[in-house]
Amino acid sequence: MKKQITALMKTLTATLMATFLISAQALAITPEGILSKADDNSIYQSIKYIGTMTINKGTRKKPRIKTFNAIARGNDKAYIEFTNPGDRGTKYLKLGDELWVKGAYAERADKISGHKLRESMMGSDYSYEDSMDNEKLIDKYNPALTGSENIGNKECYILELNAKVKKITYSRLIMWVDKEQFVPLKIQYFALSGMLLKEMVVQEVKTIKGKYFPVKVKMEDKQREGSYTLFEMESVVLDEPVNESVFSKKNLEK
Amino acid sequence: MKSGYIYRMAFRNISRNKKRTALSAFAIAMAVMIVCFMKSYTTGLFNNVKNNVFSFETAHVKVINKDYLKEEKLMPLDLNIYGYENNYNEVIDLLKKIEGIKYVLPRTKFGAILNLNGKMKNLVGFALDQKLEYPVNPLKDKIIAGRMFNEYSPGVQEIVIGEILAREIGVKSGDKITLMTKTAEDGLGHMTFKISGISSYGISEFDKTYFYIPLSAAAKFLKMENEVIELAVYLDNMHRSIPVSKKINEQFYTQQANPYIAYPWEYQKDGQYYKMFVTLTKTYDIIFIGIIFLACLVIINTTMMVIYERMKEIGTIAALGMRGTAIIKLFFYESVIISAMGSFTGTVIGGAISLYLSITGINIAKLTGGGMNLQFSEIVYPRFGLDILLYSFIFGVLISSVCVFIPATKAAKIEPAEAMRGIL
Repeated sequence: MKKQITALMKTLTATLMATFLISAQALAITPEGILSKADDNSIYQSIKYIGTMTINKGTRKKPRIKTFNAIARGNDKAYIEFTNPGDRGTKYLKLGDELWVKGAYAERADKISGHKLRESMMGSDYSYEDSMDNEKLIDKYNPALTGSENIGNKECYILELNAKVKKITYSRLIMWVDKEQFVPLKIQYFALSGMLLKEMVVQEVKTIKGKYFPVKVKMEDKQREGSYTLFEMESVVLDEPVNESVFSKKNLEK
Repeated sequence: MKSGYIYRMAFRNISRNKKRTALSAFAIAMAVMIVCFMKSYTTGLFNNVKNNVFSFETAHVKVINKDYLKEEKLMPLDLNIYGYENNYNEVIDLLKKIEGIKYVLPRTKFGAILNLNGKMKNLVGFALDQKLEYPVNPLKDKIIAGRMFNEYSPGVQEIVIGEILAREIGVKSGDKITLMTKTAEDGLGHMTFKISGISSYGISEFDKTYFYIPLSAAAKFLKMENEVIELAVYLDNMHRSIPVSKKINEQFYTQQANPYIAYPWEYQKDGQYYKMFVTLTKTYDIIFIGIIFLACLVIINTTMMVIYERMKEIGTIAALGMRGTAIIKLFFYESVIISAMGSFTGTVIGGAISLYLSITGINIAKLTGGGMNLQFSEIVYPRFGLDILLYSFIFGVLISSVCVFIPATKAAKIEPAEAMRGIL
């Protein structure tokens, strides 16, 4: 009897485990599952880092290097202060949907709003919206799995993301997500007209607090020949408490 | 018959019928007055447009970075004049050696944004050296409230803004505004300025969107320490802009690095300004020809009527033995005297009106009820000049004297008996 019970338990456990494994597998390969996992790697509760933007504007200009300190909490609050000589003292503060800016020679902060948010940030290939966005893609797009392809030596899922919200800059994204680490290694950004606007390629990923976090990214403006920005993050600290007073207009106007 | 006798006779005839003489002279005076005033007005209007274009847009010759032309619409501040080793003054020194150049003014035109409670207003800024600019573009004289900015001011930088802009955003001199721009290093320029003065050019575009800051402020705001976007070159003779540009470019070729180009006003913006001036000249000429034509009609009509209503008199003097040539001379002298009187009066009245309005100006906006986005100043100053007065006077005398020949010659040929019957 005891043997029978043990055999039954074993069968039940094996069945449960098999069911669990099949479910996990199924969750991972659904487009929503892939996108959720990718979001989990990219989205943070809080972040602190030292950033460098190397901005290339084709053959016309020498690359410009801009350095800054950044702190952000969730998708609501972010603070950036530029430190390179040409831009020292320029600060940005994101509070909810509002983006505030203050230059070194300004006595007060100004709000950037409307179409200005879609313009280039500090001459880079990132718009203000791009640089401040930390919202989960799954909340904004409907994903569809369209195939798989290698990026370098990494096997990737190809997801096509179509916007499910009306007010959005990029109405469609095509995303290559690493099958192992679930890191979006390449994203193409499209306008409503179908025109390819930008392309982002991840060049380096680090494991920080169990997340596979992209720390070196190339963003290319497909509308301007030879224009791209290399965005690098150093001293990245994820999901640790941050001083809330940083995210205040008072601090910005200091 | 001797000319002196005919001359005396002409004078006697003029004084004999004072009412007729006065009426003829009055008609000529009115025509000449209109010609005189319209010539002053159209010249003033044309000069107005020319001054506005030359003072801020084209100069006589513009020296810019060659690559700037390709992206002019975007106003890229990094494609600037930075000199050869140190700063733009090196290029100014080079230009000053070239014959025919009177002034070289360093300037930077740039776009900026004013944030009005979240609503962005696009403005156009000029960074300039006001002392150097004064002979060409006396901004100081256009200030209607406050004063000119100081080149170097401790603390907050100073700014002069247009009258309409000040009204729209509800500021006055002494208040502060904060502007945003893209710097020459592709960064964000964000600076608070103190309004030192409010300017009025009377051109809605200027007064609504333009502001002016010293070059020293632009060095910080735009990150252009030793750089400017253009060198505005003004010549002794603006009609020599093409050969002088050629000379400047030849000088540039002698330098090791050759990133700059001299650009005469005729070629700027694909010849847009040149074409505009040609069209304006043609338009004004057509208008003026129309006015001249009407004035001629008045004068001819008056002169001919005077002769035709005197046919019996002509018949009488012909019957008394006066020859055809003497009759023509008599009427010619009469016409010259009357037209001289009329033209003189018309020139004096027209000249006086032009002189007065050349000082006070004519407010076109008020006349048209405002609301027009004029490309020239709303206040037009007619040009008062001796050449216009002389032109008007000669016009009046010449037209009436010449056109008296036709009826006078015809009258002189008529048989005395026929003329006395009043048959033509």
